[in-house]
Amino acid sequence: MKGLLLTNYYLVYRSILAYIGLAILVSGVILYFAGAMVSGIAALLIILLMTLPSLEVIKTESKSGYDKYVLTLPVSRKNIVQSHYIFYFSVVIIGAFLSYGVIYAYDLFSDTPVDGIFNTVSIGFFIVLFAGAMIYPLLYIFGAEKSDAIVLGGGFVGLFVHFGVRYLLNQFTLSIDPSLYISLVYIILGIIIYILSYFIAVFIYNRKEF
Amino acid sequence: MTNLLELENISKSFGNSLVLKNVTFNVPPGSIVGFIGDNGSGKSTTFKSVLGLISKDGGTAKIFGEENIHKNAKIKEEVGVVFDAMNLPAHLTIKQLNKVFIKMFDSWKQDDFYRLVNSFSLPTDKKVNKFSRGMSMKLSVAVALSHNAQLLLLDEATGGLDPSSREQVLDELKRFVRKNNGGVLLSSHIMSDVEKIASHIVIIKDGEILLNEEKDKVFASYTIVDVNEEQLTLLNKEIVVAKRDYGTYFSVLVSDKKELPNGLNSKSISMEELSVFLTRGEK
Repeated sequence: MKGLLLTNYYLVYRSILAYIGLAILVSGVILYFAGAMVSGIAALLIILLMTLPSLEVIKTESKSGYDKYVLTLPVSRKNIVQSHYIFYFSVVIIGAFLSYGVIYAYDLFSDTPVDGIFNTVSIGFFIVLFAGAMIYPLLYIFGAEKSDAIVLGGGFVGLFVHFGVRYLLNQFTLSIDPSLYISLVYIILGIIIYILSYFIAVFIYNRKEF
Repeated sequence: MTNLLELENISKSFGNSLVLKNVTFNVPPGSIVGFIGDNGSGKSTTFKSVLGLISKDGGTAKIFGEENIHKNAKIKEEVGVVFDAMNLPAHLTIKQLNKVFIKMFDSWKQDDFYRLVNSFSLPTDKKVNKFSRGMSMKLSVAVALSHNAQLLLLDEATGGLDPSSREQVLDELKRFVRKNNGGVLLSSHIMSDVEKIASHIVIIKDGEILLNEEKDKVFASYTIVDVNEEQLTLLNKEIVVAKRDYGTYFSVLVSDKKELPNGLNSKSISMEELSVFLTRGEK
């Protein structure tokens, strides 16, 4: 497993570093010109840009034939899926922290305060995690050649599901801080969906032929 | 010791096309099995079936007596694989690959790996996707030989290598068999390679095994005779392996030269002729 994660890291770490720079730059520009009202978009953009290179792992593996070769190494198919899911999840976490940091910094230095940074980041976290939960099983079924369409589709579905979740949450009124409660629901729901997706992906990958 | 690899009646079809028909052969310890066949004859499909990359329709493929190597991934520590193209992760350097394989294999031999890398004159700081095909194949062989494998499965591993590199790789394979009493299944289009190092020969055509024999036995007893139509009828049908019709005469490959009728002159055969006869000739 460690070897697989290290391979994933070596495959895309340069891209991840470049995307971190790009994410900070783009979100900074957006926040500077459009202000606190677009902090949600900036938060999502940072996490999304961070995760794009990690999705490239499958594409690169497939292009070089490593997806076939890795099955001859002393790892199980389950380990391979695990490595993809853990790597993506780690990058989402880093992206969420980065996102929080950027918006927090904006909040500190700008005249217009940003309300509910944690809430904003948790929504971004949910959308990107949901997108990953959609993308991996589909990549295993349809192959890396269709990855661009799958990644784009996954992102949009994540966004729409977020609107659905938001609608449902608005139907309930609880006696706790709504900002914290909504954030926790998004985080927990995102993780549950991601874990479910992992089991589906293992099922698909175990039957995949190369 | 039992066979390192045992294939028994493997069959596989893609749609309506039957690509493997009861493929049966073994790789015993201390042997190099030359696996010969035209493009599309089923060699790569056989490799994929053995490695569980594709499902089988029937039959069994056992590595070290185990049928499903994916159930116990540790078994793969002792199997080295090289496919017909470089399949190592593209953006990594040899140094990074070494670090990955240290984590991946309990039995990774870093010293052996760097000895081979240096002997193959491979650059350690260059990304492997910048390597030529020859360099890539040498690197793949170096990886396969660096984790104490007992069995090597090499699908066209010497393809794309210049003669001197091929010689080097073949020497390493012979060294591996001698040192570890290991086994090698080597598919190749280059008959001189098979002739040089194989101890056993397996020839496949249209998914069917046509010959599965020890090399020395083949060259000791197999022969080609040129006969006319009348002489052809005199040949024992049991020993006729394949024949080719040249209009005025037939060239016939027979499995036992001692069984030939008196007066027929037999010729010694090369690996190339044997392969062409079996894959192009008719029964």
